[in-house]
Amino acid sequence: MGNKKMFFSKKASGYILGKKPIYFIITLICLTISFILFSYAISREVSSTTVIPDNLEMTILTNRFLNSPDCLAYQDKETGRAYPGIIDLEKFNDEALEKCYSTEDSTLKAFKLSLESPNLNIPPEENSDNKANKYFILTPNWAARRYTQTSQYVIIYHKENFYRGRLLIAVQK
Amino acid sequence: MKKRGAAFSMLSAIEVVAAAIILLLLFNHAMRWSSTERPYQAYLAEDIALVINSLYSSPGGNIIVNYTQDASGFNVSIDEKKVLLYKKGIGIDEISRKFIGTGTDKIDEKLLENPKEIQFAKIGNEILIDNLVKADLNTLTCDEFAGEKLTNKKILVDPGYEKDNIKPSKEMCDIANSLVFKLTNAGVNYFNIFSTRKLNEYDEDEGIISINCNDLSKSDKPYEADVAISLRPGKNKNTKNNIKAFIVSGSEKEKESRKLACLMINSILGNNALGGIKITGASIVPVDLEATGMEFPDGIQNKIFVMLEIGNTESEQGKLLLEKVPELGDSISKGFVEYGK
Repeated sequence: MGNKKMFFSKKASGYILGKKPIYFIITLICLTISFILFSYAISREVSSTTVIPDNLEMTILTNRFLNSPDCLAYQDKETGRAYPGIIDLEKFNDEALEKCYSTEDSTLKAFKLSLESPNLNIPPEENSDNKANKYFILTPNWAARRYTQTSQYVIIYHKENFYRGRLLIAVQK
Repeated sequence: MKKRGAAFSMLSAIEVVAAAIILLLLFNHAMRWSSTERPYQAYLAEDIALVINSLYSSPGGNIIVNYTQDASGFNVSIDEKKVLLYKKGIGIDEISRKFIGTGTDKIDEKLLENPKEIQFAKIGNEILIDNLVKADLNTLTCDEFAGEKLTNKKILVDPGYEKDNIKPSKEMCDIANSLVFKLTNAGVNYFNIFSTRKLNEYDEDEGIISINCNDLSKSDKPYEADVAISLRPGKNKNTKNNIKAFIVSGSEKEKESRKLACLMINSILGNNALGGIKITGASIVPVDLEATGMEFPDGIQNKIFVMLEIGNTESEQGKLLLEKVPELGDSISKGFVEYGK
């Protein structure tokens, strides 16, 4: 006892504490860290037990781009009918994509959609410098990370004509 | 020495209590992890987020989805970005999953407490979630443009007439009168209301204007209206009970007519007072005035014009609908007033 220091009272009138507080502080810090790590590990484990197959989620989200008239799908102005699988070239731009996939959250799936056609210049503007027949648009949460890519044959609608085309879908998470 | 001993005892007690609390929390976590509840909660959150993503992806049309998984063990909270599942009172039990919305579709934020049933619906541009969604699948998606209010315009109310029959039916006249009454209640000046049929003398005391249903001959007074609403009963030898709105294709006011037709149809479909009557479908039909055999009032080519065909005089449900005179007048008038808001 003789080597213990007295923190609050030289006359031992208050709490008498020695190395014990240091032990308590270290123990509490260690226990708290262990608890947080343990909780985090459990949460991760629980999440990993319920993973949606990547293809399923990607298909649902890709369908949104191709099927919804609010996205890229061609819609007949007269009848209001939407044509799933037919891309309206006028809608193929970043603004339209942002309207139908409005997130900047990088933890969610991000898409890069490239359109190519053997018999249509894309983008179609005559004064465009880009003469390649391939053009891409990005969702707002796209970042420079690794991605996987698939493709899908589509029909492109442009100025009352229909063209064959292919949509390259790059997905990033 | 005595005081020092007391301090050590107290510290030991605190140490034991702290250790006990941490052990309890760890044990509690471990128990919950080892049970199937947490993974099921996470699965439900993933699954519901996926359902909502699917609804956002649907290409127009209305959908109601009956959710078949049992979420009654949790509170389900859905906002515009995520679905959150938790048990009441225990904050650390939350599990959330995000979904991705669109700029055009709105989601109805909802908290369902221990829901035994969940339905998801996409009606027009709105995603609805409830234990039982109260929505009509026939509801139309109206154009987004906001036109000028119509309550200050000159309005022609035409009770219609069936083909080969110069006079309109009594029931249509009653519905038209109900509409006129509701319109004047909604603030439309009676000086601005015209009809293709003769009007009763305006009653100054009661302030009522009405079509003379006892003398349904054509009005000889000239009318120059901005908006024309024509009414007629449906007549089909089947069990259908549809609501159709005919508008003039190629008219300068086709867009405005379509919007008005849409609002009036949705107002009828959304009228709970018509509750028990099954309306089998609703549509807007653009017609070519020169090609159609239908009889329209004169001078409507470039006006905001809607001809509402309501019910079916040949089917039970259609007849029941046509008997709902004040309800139909109220619905049509509400749709009319909604225009421009």
